[in-house]
Amino acid sequence: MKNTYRTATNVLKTYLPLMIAVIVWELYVRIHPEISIFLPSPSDVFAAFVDLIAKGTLQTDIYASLKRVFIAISVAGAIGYPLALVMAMSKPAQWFFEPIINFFRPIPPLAWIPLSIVWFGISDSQNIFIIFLGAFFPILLNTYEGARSINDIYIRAARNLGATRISMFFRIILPAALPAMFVGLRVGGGVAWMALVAGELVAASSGLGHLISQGRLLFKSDQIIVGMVTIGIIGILLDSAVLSIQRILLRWKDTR
Amino acid sequence: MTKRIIEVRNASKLFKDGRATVHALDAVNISFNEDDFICLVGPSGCGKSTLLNVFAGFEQLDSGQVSMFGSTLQGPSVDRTMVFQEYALFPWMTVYQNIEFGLLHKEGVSASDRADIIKRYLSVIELEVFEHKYPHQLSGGMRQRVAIARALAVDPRLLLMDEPFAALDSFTREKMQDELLRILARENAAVVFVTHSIEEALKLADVIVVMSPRPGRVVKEIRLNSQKPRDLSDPDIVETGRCIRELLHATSS
Repeated sequence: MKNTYRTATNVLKTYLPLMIAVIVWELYVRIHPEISIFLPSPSDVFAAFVDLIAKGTLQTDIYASLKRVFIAISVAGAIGYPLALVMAMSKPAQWFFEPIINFFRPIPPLAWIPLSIVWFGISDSQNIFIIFLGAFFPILLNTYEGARSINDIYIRAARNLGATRISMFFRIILPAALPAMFVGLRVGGGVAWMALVAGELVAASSGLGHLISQGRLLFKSDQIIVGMVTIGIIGILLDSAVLSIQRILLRWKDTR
Repeated sequence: MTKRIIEVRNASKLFKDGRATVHALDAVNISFNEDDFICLVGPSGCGKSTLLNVFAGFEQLDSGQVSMFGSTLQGPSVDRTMVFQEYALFPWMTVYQNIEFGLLHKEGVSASDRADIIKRYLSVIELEVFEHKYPHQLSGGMRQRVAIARALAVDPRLLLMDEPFAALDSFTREKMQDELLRILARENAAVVFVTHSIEEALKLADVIVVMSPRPGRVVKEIRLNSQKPRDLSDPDIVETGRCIRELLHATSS
């Protein structure tokens, strides 16, 4: 009981400033109702939220966005992780891929949008391509750095204990690089989520970005804010899901 | 009749230190018996760690030859396992998995043999209850006991120890020295043990090899015949210690 009480007070303490901000916002709009078309009050936003759920639009858009992000991150991981590990272990691979990657890396994913529309049209594939670019480089570069900076003493100890190439890869290099792989996933996931919204704002017929841009066309500020808040909340949930998986897989790490 | 396990003939190795070339090892000749505990002592730069790395197969000589039971050393092998100063336990493996690692690469060891061997070593190092813990959950002394068990589990002919207790506090260090003698009493591996500490060498060694720096050379080999565990205040031991100290001072000034 006492613990529940303590948790409740802690939650209250953490979110109190946010609640105060929301209350001030609500009061301000109530006092100046003429601005509500530009800045709807929190209660208006909530009403729009309930309305969008009742119509089923919000669920459809969330599903469309999540699907794109999952496909894009899966492809980015499926290419980025193996490529990074191969580059870290093989000098010729490093020689070949490093300059190519360094050339493309500084080009922001959003700069690819026009070309990607020429290639794919306004489609799921076009969106997925942009999100993929957002996730790919952080995953690749973090994993590459992590796998390259493995403490040499582990490699020596493994060779000393007769490690084969397969054993060296799966039992030493892969687990040693795993923390960096998670950093890549979290950074890449964040960039992917931003790229998603940007891509959908410009070119999509579904998804949370599309919901927002529809809100703008219809001059529905409340719908825009529902979209923004949903994007924020899903972003936090995805990141904390990755964090909990990381906590399980990296329980060997000294976290003190 | 004791057999020679290691023979080092005319071993030389150079290191580039900026523009200067340093003789890490200069024409070193030395040989060890099969059941000896050898301590290499000397100041930093005397080549004792280099020699150990050559035995482990991590480094190559520039000239000369090292052979083990008559055949030239080639690369690392589970015949010669190493205990590192920084423990070098794999942090992502439990105590059990760390000890298991070398056994996975050894031919003719079945899964049930493996389990038996690991259990036996867990009991030798008295860490049975910690078998599922990760290295970061153990104290320094416990980690080094796991590292010793990991190195011995593959049944090596030669155990290489690179200042294994240097990172421990002096109390744990003394305890670990006793532990090591107790553990090794049941093993038939020769030991090459690198240390800075003359006391440590006097306590553990059958043969103390005194080395000098720049160029790295063997100054003297001293065989200690008294029983272990030794009383370091015994007059003979004190005299040997004084002699080693004099040799080291003479070479480093």
